[in-house]
Amino acid sequence: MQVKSTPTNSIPIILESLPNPPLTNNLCPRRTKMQIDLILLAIEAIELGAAEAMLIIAKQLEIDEIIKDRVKFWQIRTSNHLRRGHNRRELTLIEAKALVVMISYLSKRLTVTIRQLLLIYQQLSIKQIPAENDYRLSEYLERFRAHFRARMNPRRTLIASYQDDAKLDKLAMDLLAQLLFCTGTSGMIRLWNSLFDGEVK
Amino acid sequence: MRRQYMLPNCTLIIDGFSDVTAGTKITTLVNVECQFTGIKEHLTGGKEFFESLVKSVSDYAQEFLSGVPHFVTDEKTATLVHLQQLEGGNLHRLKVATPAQTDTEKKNTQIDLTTVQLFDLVEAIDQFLADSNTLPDITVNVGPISKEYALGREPIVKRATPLFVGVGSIAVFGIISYFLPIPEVKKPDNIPPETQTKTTPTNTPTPKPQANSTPSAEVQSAINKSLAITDSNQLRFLARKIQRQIRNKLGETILVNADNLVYRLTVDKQGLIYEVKPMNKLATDKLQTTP
Repeated sequence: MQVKSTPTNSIPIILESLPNPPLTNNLCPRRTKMQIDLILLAIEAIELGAAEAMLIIAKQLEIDEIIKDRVKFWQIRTSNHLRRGHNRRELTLIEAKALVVMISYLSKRLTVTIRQLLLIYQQLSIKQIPAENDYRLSEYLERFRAHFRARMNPRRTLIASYQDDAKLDKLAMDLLAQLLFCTGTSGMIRLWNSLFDGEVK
Repeated sequence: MRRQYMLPNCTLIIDGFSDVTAGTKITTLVNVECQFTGIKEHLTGGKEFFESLVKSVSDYAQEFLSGVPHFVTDEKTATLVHLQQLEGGNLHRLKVATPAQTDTEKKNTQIDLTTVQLFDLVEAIDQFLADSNTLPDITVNVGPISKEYALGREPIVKRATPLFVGVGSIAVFGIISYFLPIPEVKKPDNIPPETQTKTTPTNTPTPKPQANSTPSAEVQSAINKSLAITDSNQLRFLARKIQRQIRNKLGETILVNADNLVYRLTVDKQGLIYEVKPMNKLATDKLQTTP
């Protein structure tokens, strides 16, 4: 049986820029897990093949020790209690950091697309034209809705409140705006800190 | 010396000078200007304004990301530069209260920014903060806010009100119910039958009282209190039922007396006979002989 190396021995350098928040135990709160999963879901909705790209990027960023393969990645993501088939698994800080680094990297790659989608949405909102009128925007929203409904547990009160398409579209646009902030100079640290707002001692 | 941080929607211009020993580092701020593409109004000010701008924008960005309000501790900062999200979430209002030179010159500036414009402002500020060659003493702490702080600065009175209302209402209802009489449990020993006043002129066999022929006083009072059946359909139904009962009881009995014997029957809704009262003299005489 493979001996597990202790976290302190194998923290990739890239993760060291993210400080450990003062939590009561060193495990991620529910809100953190949910937020990370939703942001990743938004990324998958922006770009086809983003899920595959995530595993390749994990290798490039040398965080593949933490996100080994597809199965491990899925296990980590189903630690979100709102998912169907939620596995009651905890998300460790190291795993969360790895995901945040990945989000930051992916969002930077998608900066132009994210900005364009938000600008289009802005212009359509001013003219009170529905988002479906723009092909790319409607594609994003449709994919987001499909992923969300396929993966999230509808029995959960919070998920059930998103039965309405309009409400789900609003969530999709909010996540897109948050992704924009992740593309910035301090995007990664800002995202990391925001995940623990109101959760720390 | 001037430093500019240029983004598509926002340009941050910092004018200042450096100490003799600092070289190219800007250590003292003279003026800062913030311009937005497509917006006429520019934001300008000195060190106080800029520190307030940096802190408020940084906190607001975190609040935007997490949805958890970041209350500003410094009252001065809060009044100088203030950001709030407008309805819909797509617009953000940036307000600057410029301190007046004289009382009449007080100027408040207000700019509405889209999310993309806001991000460009945040990015310009982040680029400035990352630049160690420009005003390195201006920094922000971007850590997560604690549980207690995130609960907000709502006054304790407001937070405790629902608790007190809840406990208070329970107490009030407890007191009210204490004074309410305890409902008495009445034993159901006499079911008041519903009386039917109907005379049955018969040249058919007379009915037989099923129960005691002399009703007790109790039953009588109960009968008196009970409601009369007035519905004609119900009356017809009861009449048919009683006639059936009579026929069943008498069977082969042959009528010997063709005179009318009139009896008042007290029956309940189901046709159960409680009382038989003779209504004419003949009936009274014949009561004992009638089945």
